Amino acid sequence: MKKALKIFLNIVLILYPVIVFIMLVMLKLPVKVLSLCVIALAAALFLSFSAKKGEKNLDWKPLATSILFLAAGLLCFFTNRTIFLKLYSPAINLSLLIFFGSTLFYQPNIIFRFATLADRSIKGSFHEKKVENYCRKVTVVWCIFFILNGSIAALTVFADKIFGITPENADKVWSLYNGGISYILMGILFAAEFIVRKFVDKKMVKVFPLTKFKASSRAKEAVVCYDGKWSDGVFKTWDDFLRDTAKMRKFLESRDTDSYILHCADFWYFGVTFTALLQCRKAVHLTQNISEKFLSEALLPGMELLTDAEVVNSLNIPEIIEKSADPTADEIDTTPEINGETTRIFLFTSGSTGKPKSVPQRMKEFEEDNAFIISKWLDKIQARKFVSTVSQHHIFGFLFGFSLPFATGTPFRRKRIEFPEEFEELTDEKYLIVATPAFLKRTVEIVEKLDMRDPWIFTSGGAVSPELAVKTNEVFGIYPLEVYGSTETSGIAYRMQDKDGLTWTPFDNAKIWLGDDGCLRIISPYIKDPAGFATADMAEMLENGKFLLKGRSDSIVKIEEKRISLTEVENRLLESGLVEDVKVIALSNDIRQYLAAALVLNQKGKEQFAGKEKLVLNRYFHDFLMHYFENTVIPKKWRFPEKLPTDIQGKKHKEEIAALFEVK
Amino acid sequence: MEELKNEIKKVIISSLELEDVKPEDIVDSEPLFGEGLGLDSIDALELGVALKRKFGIKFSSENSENRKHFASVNALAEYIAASKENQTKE
Repeated sequence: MKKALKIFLNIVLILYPVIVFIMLVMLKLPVKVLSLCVIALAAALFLSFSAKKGEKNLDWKPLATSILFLAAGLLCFFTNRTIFLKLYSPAINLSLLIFFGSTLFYQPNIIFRFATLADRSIKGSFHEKKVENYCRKVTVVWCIFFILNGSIAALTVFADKIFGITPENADKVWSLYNGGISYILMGILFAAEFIVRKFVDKKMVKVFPLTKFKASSRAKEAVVCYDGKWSDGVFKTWDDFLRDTAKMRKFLESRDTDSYILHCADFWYFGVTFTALLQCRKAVHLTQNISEKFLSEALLPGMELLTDAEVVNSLNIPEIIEKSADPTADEIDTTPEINGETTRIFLFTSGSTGKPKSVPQRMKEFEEDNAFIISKWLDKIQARKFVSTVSQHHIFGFLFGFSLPFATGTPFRRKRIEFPEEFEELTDEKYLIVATPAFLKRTVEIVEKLDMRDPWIFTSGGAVSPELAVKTNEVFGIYPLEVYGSTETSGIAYRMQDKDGLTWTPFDNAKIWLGDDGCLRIISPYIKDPAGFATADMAEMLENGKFLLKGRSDSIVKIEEKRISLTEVENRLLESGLVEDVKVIALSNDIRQYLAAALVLNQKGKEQFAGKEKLVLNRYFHDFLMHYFENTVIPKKWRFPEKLPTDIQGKKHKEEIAALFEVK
Repeated sequence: MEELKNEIKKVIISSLELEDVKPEDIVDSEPLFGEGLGLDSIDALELGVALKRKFGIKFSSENSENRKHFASVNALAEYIAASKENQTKE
């Protein structure tokens, strides 16, 4: 009953201009009668909407409407003029304008509020920002509409005066516009926006991480992977992805093996196999190393090796996929759910003991890591095509080279870039480069200037020196976006040296502070321990929550009770302006412990010392360091190689550097 | 005297395992510590031991005295020569 009354009142409100017209012009009722009706309507409105007992928060909108009507009715009754009844429609437009317009300043905007009510999946999703921006534009359009519509409505109220027509015709014009045309215009706007929204929605590539995607998540023809360069047009599509994962699943289901080692250089086969393994709830061990010795230790009984490399007794991925029968439509569309919390993923680390050691990881944390990057740089990412120089078997390469492009629906390159010269080919498209600082370094040494179109660079796994940052900008045309993190903590902070200098900004989902030892403590999605993860990175916290890194504490050695940070010595040597790369290590002979430095001279250094004896160089850098350090901690031995030995991740290991100092 | 200086230089190089340094690279008047050859206090101890073994000399327990003797190859040579003379006199 109450509901029926409410609906009736709403209909009366919508058809208000028509009803007024009928009573006034067609039935020729006196104004006084009409105004009494309006007053009655106001009373009914008030009663119906305020009748709910026990509700403290009275809905102000019907209340305001009823007051508006009451005022109009009373004014009409006493002045005997219809104008106040007619002012209702411009007044409604004005109040809607104020209502919609105010939400542009008091976020979120009204259309976005409606949208999130209608579609609960928007809130907290990766495309929330995009949707909000779109809704903002729609809100602005509606505000403009209310201004125009309200102005025209106001004109029609005074139609008799402005256009010099009879009051009766003026009433007709008023009710025709406010009771008809204005509603039609509103409908057209609604419909137009609906169509535009469908287009925008289709164009918007949504984020579907590995644990959330379904067969319908992307268009069948959407490109997942490309070979060579983008313009070559050699693609693997979403349809291919569903087919190949179905084939791989069928193969895995036909076997009893529960635990696999996966090594696959080809990013496509890697992605397909990795996904299928998780879908089949198998344990996956990722390894870059497939040497016989390593495998003999890593392959435990019951485990099998899936690879695209030629390895004896392995399961060859390309063969499995090429030789499998075509899956049925049903098999293609079935995408077994991947539970991020129960996935069993292991990354092998190059342990110092030499024995293969694998660290357990879950998709949940991987995706939380990606989530921050996506929330921050989704537009940059989706506007480009991925190329990775980092192996996807390591955490940085996996997160940025596979997981991130997959989740954002951004095509990635099938083959890893192994030589800097390969960048020279990539001038046809906007690319996103995933590279270690070491790879950038090698690139800027070889290549003078790349002709790439507006590239973007993600780099991690070591700090980028200011010199390298500048050089990278010269060669690539952009400063690299550096992500600070480790296998244990994942990404925790970022910087771009042209904007941030050396200051790191923590990720939103990371909490950092300084421990008693002056080293960073971190709580990130990866770290469940409330005491935080103690890093060996010394830092200085800045007032705004950002921080500066001050070298590694495990780089501190004691020589004759004097503490010295190897990183500090390295940094000073870099400041000489003659050095491009440096590694200082602590060595000892039967007499004592001492420091030894391996320096790679830059162009200026090479010129300055051309033809000079090594002793001259030794002494130059020794005397240079005398300005900063006590003699005891200044390196005793010097090496000036062309290049420092690094591993595939670009890390400099002490053992290899130490080998430089072995006496032949 | 020149021969003695050369001997001292050889001891410095061999006892401290100095790399890239030949006896002729060490200038007689050049400071041994800090700038120049760049030896440090630990080296001084080691060098002291080596010189004692080679030339049978003793260094004083007085720090400032030793500093003087270790200033340069010249200073060392003079000190060693003087000590030897004393020894023969006695």
